[in-house]
Amino acid sequence: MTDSVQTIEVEELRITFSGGVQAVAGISLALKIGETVGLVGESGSGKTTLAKALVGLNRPTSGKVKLEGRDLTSLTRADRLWLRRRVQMIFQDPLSSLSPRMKIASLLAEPIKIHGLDRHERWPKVLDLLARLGLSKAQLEKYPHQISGGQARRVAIARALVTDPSFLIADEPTAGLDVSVQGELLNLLADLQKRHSLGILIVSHNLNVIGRVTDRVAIMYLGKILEEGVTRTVFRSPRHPYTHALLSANPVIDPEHKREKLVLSGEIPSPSNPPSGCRFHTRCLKVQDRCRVEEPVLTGTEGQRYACHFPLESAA
Amino acid sequence: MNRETLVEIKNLSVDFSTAKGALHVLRDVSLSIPRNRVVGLVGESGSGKSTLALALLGLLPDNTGEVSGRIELDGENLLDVPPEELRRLRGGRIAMIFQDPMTSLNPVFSIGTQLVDAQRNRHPQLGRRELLKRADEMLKRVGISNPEARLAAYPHQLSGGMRQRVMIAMALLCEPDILIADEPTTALDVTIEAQIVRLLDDLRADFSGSIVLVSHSLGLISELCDEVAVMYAGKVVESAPTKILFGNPRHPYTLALLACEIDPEDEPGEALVTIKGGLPDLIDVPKGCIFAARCPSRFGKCVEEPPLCEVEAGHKSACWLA
Amino acid sequence: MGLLRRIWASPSGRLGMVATLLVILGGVAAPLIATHMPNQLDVAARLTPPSGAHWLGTDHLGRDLFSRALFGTRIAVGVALAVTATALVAGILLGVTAATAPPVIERTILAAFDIVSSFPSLILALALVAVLGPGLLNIIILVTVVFVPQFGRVARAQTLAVKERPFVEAERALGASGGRILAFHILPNIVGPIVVLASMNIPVVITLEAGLSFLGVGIRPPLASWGTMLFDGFTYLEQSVWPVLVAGGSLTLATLGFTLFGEALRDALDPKLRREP
Repeated sequence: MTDSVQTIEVEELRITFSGGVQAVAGISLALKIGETVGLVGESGSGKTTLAKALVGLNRPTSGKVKLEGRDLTSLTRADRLWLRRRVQMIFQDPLSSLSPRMKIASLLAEPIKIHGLDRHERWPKVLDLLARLGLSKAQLEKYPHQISGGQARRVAIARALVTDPSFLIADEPTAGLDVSVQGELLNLLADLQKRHSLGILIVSHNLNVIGRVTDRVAIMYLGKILEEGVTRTVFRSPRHPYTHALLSANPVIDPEHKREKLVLSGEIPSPSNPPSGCRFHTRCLKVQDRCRVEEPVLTGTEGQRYACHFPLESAA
Repeated sequence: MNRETLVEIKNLSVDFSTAKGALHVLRDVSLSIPRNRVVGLVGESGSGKSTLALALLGLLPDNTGEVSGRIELDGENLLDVPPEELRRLRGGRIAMIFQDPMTSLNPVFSIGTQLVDAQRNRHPQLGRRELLKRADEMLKRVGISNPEARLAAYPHQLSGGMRQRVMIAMALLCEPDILIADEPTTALDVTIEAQIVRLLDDLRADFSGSIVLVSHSLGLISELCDEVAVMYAGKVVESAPTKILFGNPRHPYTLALLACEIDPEDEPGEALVTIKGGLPDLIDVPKGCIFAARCPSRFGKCVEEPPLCEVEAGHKSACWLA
Repeated sequence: MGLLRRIWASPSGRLGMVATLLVILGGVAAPLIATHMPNQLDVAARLTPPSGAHWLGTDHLGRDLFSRALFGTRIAVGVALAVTATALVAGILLGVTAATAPPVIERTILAAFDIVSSFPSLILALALVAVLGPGLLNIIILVTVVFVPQFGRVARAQTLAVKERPFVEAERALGASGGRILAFHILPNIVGPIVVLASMNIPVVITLEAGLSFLGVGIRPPLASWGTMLFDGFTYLEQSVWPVLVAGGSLTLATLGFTLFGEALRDALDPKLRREP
């Protein structure tokens, strides 16, 4: 990539857990600053494993993790510290991601200590950030269990931004939120993205959220990307039958029952024993003999790539 | 279709006792559930929708304080029924599907045993062999292939979608008059959720009872329900046949909820709609309209509590502007 | 403090707290309260029942039982605290190491724990006395060895559980080093249950020490220990029951007090048992 300076990317990443579960089975994906990328998939797709690999929580079995052009696969201690300063993560359950016996103030000061930053210079910025997130100073003296779920979410976000990272990985950021407040969180992320020109990766199973707030999207299934591209294009005209089925299954308000729903049969196969050929062939409505033996590779253009021998017609 | 009422909830109020005082979880809720229909209860957390479902089942939690009003099933007030008889009703006329089937299936008994036990209230005269046969047929009907093997299996050996199918089979084996489904697809993956939604939709056709579907998902409600009641902070604020409710919502809360629903087709970049403010205090409940503090259309009269009034045939809204 | 108030709230906790306080106070203030020196002989008044001069009577050498019991408290509680504290620290160190170190080290530590705990504690202590010889310091060392595996196992299990909690991963994502995570995030979350276990172990240590001293392999005379007092009293039981009563009574009061206190502490710390007021 030409502008690799402002990118975090994985190349042919594979992560196999002990026990033989191939959670990530050869994935290349890039996230640029100022861009929001969505990672969509059902259970067993490996989306969270991939996200954690980006912050260095999962060690690649093979392949590369490159941050701003630097290969971090070997991850020395210094590399790791640098990576973690540049790439931060917010976890699915914000409350349980806060160490229970530390006050909010200590939790927020931790990144400063860990990375040996100048406390006098950083702390005012942290307080600014808190104010912008709608948290009062009174919260600083509290313990995590004394604040509300919404406040914990904000503390987790503030903590991730203390080191002034370029990239933010958000694992299911709206899980468990009511519709009336999920917009608030997404607006907040969008606002922070503009201010800090962050590159944000949103991992989610909520297609409405992904479709609305991301620039690019990658659809994962059993450790592989089946389709990826510009969100608009992929959502309007999916080329992979799985993407199509996923979008069709997404419940939308449709009291007149106008929409013909496409329902996939069968269960999601176990990632420890993925099907041969195309991983999706056991549930695909358009499956043919070739799909059972030959694994399709991602083809297409920068705007939309898909891994299918018999892609759907482009609507455009 | 004529609308015959099966369950009539009249002025139901439920308090939970907490350290800080009585929490008024449901206040003066009236709702009728017609025979042979699917009624949706939709609302956000704290709306009281799950409490209402539990009240229907007679399974209110231990810390329940004062309960007043009536829940009439064919004219009989369920709140007066002694616990022993209520227990019999639950396995017979009333059945429930929970959000997480793993926690509601007993891990130490096989699926077959649990499906047999579920029918004992309904068919005390039948032996295990007959009951197993019925279970076998029901598993086929809910789309489980190879039912003989599944009957011998234990809950942990089944996938989440399969377990939810078993729960549905178990509920249907009771041949209930009323089936309560509390967030039945929330724990499932999208493609599996679609399967369960289709299954519920298919089953409606030859299911003689009523279904109460509790969900936070307007999409799911719109797909499955004949009628909808929108709940907010322990009140029903609007109820109507589904098409009317989504086509012509008459309560500002319903309108706001619909506006918050994210449509991926919208242009990105614009800020998403939210409802400002938070839930009202349900211990010291504010006077007047319960939604007033967050309502964009608030005006002088909202200091008085608006009753749930019919605004057109079958469509009720608790708003002075409706 | 909320914790003490919660302990005080239950009748058995109150009893335990009072008894524990009495025992500790008696031990600490022994030189002030005692009416005699513990080893002061009064050959004229041997094996007397309680009187104005000797509140709880005397033993076979005419030593004041009240004073000896008070000084015995110092030994009993001192040994119990020293043993528990040492075992606690060693157990946490070994347990946390086992939970975080490579499998070879983990297996070695666990095997050592298994070996130690496969012997009944009294038998093991006797065997170690045979090697080390009796004496106060040796008693402390060997009873400690007996108790380390208990704390070690709990510490390991707690560490393994806490390690999997999401906040540990969040700290890693933030860049915290392994040592920092251990010191600031894992340790504070595992000590609670282990301290409770320790408090419930104090009475066990007290009885074990008394038992060893009774058998003559623990505290050596003339040091006043409840175990030796019990043994001496036993020999002269036919002439006076008071030495046995005083030593046994002290032992009972201390073990009962610490047990009840430990149980109340456990209940007070366990959020699942904690009721909303």
